[in-house]
Amino acid sequence: MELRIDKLTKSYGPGRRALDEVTLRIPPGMFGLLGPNGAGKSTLMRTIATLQAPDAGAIRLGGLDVLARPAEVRKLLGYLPQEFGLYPNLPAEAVLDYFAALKGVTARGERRELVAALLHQTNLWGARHKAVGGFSGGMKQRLGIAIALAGRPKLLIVDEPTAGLDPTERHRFLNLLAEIGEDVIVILSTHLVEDVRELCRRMAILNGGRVVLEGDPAAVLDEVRGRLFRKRVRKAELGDYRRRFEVIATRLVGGDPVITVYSEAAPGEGFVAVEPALEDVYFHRVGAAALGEG
Amino acid sequence: MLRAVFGFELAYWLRRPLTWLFFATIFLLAFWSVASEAALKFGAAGAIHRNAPLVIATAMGGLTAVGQAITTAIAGTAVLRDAQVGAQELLFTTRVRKADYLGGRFLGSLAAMLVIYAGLPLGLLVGSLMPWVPADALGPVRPWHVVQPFLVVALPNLLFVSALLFAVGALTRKPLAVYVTGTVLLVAWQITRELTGDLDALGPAALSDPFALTTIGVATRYWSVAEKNARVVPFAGLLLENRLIWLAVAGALFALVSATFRLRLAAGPRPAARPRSPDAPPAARPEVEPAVRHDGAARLAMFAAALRLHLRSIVREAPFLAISFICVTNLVMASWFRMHRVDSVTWPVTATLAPLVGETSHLILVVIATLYGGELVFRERQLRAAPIHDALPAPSWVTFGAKAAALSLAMAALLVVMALGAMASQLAQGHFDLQPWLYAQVLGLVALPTAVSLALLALGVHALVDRKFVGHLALVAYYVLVQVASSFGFDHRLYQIGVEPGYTYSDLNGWGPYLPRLVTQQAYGLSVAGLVAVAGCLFLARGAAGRRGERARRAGARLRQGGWAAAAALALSATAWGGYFYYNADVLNAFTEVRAAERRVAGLEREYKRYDGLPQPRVTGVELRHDFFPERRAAAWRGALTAVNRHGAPIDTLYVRLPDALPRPLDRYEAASNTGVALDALDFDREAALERDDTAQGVRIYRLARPLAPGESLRVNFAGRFEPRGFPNDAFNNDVAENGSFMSSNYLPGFGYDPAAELAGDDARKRNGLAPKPPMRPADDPAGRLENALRRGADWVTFAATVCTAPDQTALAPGYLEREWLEGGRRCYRYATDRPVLGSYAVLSGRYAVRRETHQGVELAIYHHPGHEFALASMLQAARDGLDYFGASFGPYQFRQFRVVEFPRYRLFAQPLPTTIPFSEGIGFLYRHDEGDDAIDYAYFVTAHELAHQWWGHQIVGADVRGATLLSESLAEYSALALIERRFGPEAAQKFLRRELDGYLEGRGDEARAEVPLLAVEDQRYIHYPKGSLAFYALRDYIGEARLNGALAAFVASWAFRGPPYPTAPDLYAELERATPPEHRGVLRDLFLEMTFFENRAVAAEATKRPDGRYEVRLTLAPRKLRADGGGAMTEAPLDDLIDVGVFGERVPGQKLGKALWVQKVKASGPELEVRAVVDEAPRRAGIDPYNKLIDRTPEDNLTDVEARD
Repeated sequence: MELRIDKLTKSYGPGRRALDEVTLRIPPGMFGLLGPNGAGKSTLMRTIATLQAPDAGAIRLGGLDVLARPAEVRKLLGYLPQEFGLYPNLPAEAVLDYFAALKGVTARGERRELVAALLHQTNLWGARHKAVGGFSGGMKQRLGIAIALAGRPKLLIVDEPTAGLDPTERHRFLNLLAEIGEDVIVILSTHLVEDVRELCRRMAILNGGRVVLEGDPAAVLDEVRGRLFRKRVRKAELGDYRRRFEVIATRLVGGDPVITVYSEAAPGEGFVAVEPALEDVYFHRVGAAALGEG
Repeated sequence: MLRAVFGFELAYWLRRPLTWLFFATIFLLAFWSVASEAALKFGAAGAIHRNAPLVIATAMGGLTAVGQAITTAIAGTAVLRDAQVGAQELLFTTRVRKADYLGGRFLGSLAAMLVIYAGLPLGLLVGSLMPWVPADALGPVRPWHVVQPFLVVALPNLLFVSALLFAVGALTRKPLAVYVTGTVLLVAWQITRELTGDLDALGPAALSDPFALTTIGVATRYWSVAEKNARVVPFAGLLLENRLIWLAVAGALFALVSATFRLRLAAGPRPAARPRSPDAPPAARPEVEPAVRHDGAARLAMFAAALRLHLRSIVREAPFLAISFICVTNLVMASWFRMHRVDSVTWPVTATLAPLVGETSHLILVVIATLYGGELVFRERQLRAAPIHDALPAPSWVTFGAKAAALSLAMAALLVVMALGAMASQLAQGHFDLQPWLYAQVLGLVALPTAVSLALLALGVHALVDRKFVGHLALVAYYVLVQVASSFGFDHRLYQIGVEPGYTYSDLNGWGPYLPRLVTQQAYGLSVAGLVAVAGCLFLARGAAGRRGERARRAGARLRQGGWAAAAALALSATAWGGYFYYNADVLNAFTEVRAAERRVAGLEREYKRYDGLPQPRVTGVELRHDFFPERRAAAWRGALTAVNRHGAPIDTLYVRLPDALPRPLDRYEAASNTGVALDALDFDREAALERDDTAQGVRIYRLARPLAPGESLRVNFAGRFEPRGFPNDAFNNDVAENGSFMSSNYLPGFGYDPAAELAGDDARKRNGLAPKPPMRPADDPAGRLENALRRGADWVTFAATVCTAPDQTALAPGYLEREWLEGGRRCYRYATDRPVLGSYAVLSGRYAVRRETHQGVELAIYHHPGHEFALASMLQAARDGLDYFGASFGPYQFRQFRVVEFPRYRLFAQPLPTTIPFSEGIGFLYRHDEGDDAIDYAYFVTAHELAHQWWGHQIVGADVRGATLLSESLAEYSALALIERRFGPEAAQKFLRRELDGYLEGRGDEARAEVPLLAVEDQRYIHYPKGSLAFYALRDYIGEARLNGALAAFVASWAFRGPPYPTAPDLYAELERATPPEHRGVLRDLFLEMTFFENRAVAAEATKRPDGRYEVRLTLAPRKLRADGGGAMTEAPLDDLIDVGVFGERVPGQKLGKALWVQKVKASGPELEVRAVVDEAPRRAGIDPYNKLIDRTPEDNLTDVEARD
């Protein structure tokens, strides 16, 4: 089963186009969706999760028309929104039990087993009697994924799940995602390049509502391999370099800017070639899109 | 900084449309209370001006109390708002100081409240300037009349409520806590208002009312109409104390907030302990592969899971528990107060208490449904769980349905707990027959379906409107509209969804005819509310808000997906039940709005008033055959009247009065449909041409071929029947009941136009273009003297009746039983009187148990419902005592029997018929009097009163002129009081008189026309009952029992069984005057011919111990006498009266005063009175008129403590 998104368009009022003819093919496995804030990631996720109607375009999940038959899609769906709350006065176990029931796990005994398994799996077993309102961000996020995972979804959508988590929590969360079966389509939206690098077999970069790159993270690196150069410069020179080169990243190291530039040929002037990281592709593409629009 | 915060807060509110909406609401309420006749009134009625200072003060108190919703929204959210919008972090980290923050917010919101409530004086003022307001409904416009109550009532009220809700909002930072506090305050306020039922608790009640309404009521309790129109409520005494108390409470609340509030975020639930091994690798995914199902059974399981979750979230939380606690407290208090009136105690039978569960919970259920309906619909969105929730496969109707079920179940749980509370209250009051099945029926038929309708309606409206605040507003507007519409006469039950259905449960007759209407109304209401809920569910928001038209499109899709089936089923059900209701109420029973019924009755008057005074024959004999068919609530009657021409001229035109067959207004809200009453035959023993047949209006006019000569008799044969059909929208005609029928003589034809049937109430008459009813005829009116006050067109009649009924029932009519037999399987009784009686009679039938005994050759019998034996002993005691005392004092009892017959509680009265007293289940048979009770034995009192009417009403029959009720009600009331004093002692009589004094003084403040002296009383209850007994009691005190009773006996001797012409009040007065020694004639005049008031006061009392061990007491007293005119304006009256002066010793348990050491009548002839008394024991209290025999509006200052001097 494959998720096909075809020319999906959505605007919030005139001139505020959130999605602009987005077309994507998403096979089973982990799919990373990268993009800066406001790129349209959440709109795309919500639309796939049947919570929002687009202005135009189509989404098909295997043979299923997502936009026409949301009820059918929801039976296959697991969704973890970017921002969410839960019933704060109830213990984690009751909350999970409730959502599992509404997902169709209706046999009591089976549901109890499932809830126990998910709590173990998300490492919340010890906190199962605690009111959800007292959970830390990571615990809440893990409970969210437990809810999303309940009922064996075929399509799992997780929207910026690691935002705001400390590194330990983030790892724990990503490990959870890594456990998910091969046959499930998992769409992970994030603005953290590492998330994608560590987990995803395919990825896309969304910017300004458009898909600016789609492919295999490994293959994507080839696009910039041998064309990235770095140099430590002085602050005063920064403007000059910006004019002359395509500066895709500027970082301060010991107070002095270290710039990374994209160049078809080695620029010389003390620039040294660097091994590309996914991040560089991201900056390259996002920056290019910004230039292209500007 | 304070100014900045204040300015920000005020500006915030002034920018919000909500503020101006509130302003408009208050303005319009105030405006219409003055400008419209039908709108909400604040005590303006009759002669009290719509802008009287007292009315304005009451409006200020009432609107600030009820306007809690406004305070909740404004002061309650002043701090809360920052938490809700998440601005706290930003705000609290600025340099704002706590005092500035809290003070600014509080004062800012208070200022906004004042802006809103400025609508109140403005509305009153503008309303009083409207040209269409009748001039006589308004007093002069004086700014001070508005400003003073605003400063004294409205401002402190707003300060207190704002401080309270501000404090709750600031400290809990939970909106629901603010709402619940508001509700709890309102309910608690209602409870304290119940305290005013107890005359001894008036002071505490006045102080405990934070809105000062009770305080105003107590302070002006005995104000006359003139005072109410002219005086502002003085800012002194109780009102001053009350205001200081509640301002102090407000200050304390604010201090509490200042002390405990921290510029920090509210503490959330405690963070969970970290898992024991946080870094342990997650367990390998266990092999759990549960089945995922979405079939019907799965939906049911989803429904159950959601139901559990929501139910738990409602009933386990503090607000609901608080509301439940308040509800049960309210119920227990209400049941206590309902059972313990000031002067009487009633048994808490289930038939009284079970309906109380519904009655006391209804308003709370409305609040719960509205509030929680909103909470539930918006729950996921508020918790930000909506994205997860909305992407779940469970269909919307499953989760929405579960919410409706959860809310309904929560309310059901509340009702069950209340029922248990009611049972506990029964047990605590010593009543052990709990009848749980009756509770179940009342809850199942009345309270629960109403609650479910409310829940469905609230959820549906909230889902449809999709904005919580607007939803609340829409629902409240609907509830208010339904109430207001019914006060305008639009009261068809088909558009009253979620309104308490009307019914009366009677132990005698069970649910009676109400059951089919109740079931139909509830099924209809549930269907309509269900339809609203389905509509809400179709439009229920799911996912992100889409474009315009998106909701409609989605609703259409849901409709196609199966919503249509539910909608169609409910629409069908609503149509079917509504159609059945309509068929019953409108087709079978010709539903008529009250206003239309008023017009009908007004038309009757306009058309036929000209026949008033037309000479008509007078009824002298009645022969009746009456058949009850209790099993189908029907009756048929036939018989003959004999009537004689007592006039000097022949009569050729007969005006025959028939029972109403068209609707008649019962009060402002209800009309009796009168369908099913039919006349079958009416003929005469001579030829008569039917000149005008208006049987529907109840009038027929005949012309006699041969006029009826003076002294000649006429015989009229008649037949009629009553066959009720289905059920009416409004009042049932319960004259025939399956058990407990009671039909009066009004069903029989009569002669002559009867003004008693004219439209009552000056307002209603004005609406219909009729002049106010003229006052009664003066006592010397010759035509008036020929008519008796009991039944128009009839004099002393010979009465005989055969009454047949179901074989298991007993039928009764006035007179002696001559024969009892079975006729075609029905039981028949023949009754006849052996002497002429007054033309008022009734027939009754029921399954009775009888308690009999014989006293002085009179057969006493009480026909009662088995199980209602509570008061039988008291009733029999009263009958024995009355026969003895009245017989010895006034003249012999004219009958050989005295019967009391119970009838269902559909009507609440006892009626004295010759030999027979029909007595309502609701007032008489449940009275409780335990040995040693200090409450009055009311069953004893009422029986004594009704027995006394066998003299005052059936021996002495007053003419239909002013003072008529002095001869019946005042004398019966005095006779019963005398009997109470003989049986229970002077303390009981004192207690009774205190109540009578209160009834008189309070009643005169509501007089719509002008108060009159006792001798000219028309039909004012506040005069003929309480002032009557006060006057006769005082007179007896002055001239002695022997003289007074001697005068009454002489009056009976000269007037018993006489008329026409009938005796009048001046005839009695002449007899009283003869018996009164000259020195007391002034008192007699004061009591009967004037409206006299005393303002006696004890100034000081000093005691000196004498060498012989006795005490000399020096009393300084200030007696004062005033006379009032009809409007209540007082003028000083010269004082030359003998007044009781008394000195009292140590308190005696059970007595209000101490032991009487010295009581004498002392002549008072000036504003100061010095009295010396020598007593044997140490004096404690002393004063003037200690027993409150005189009419005094401040009886509490008559006594003072005695100071000891060496």
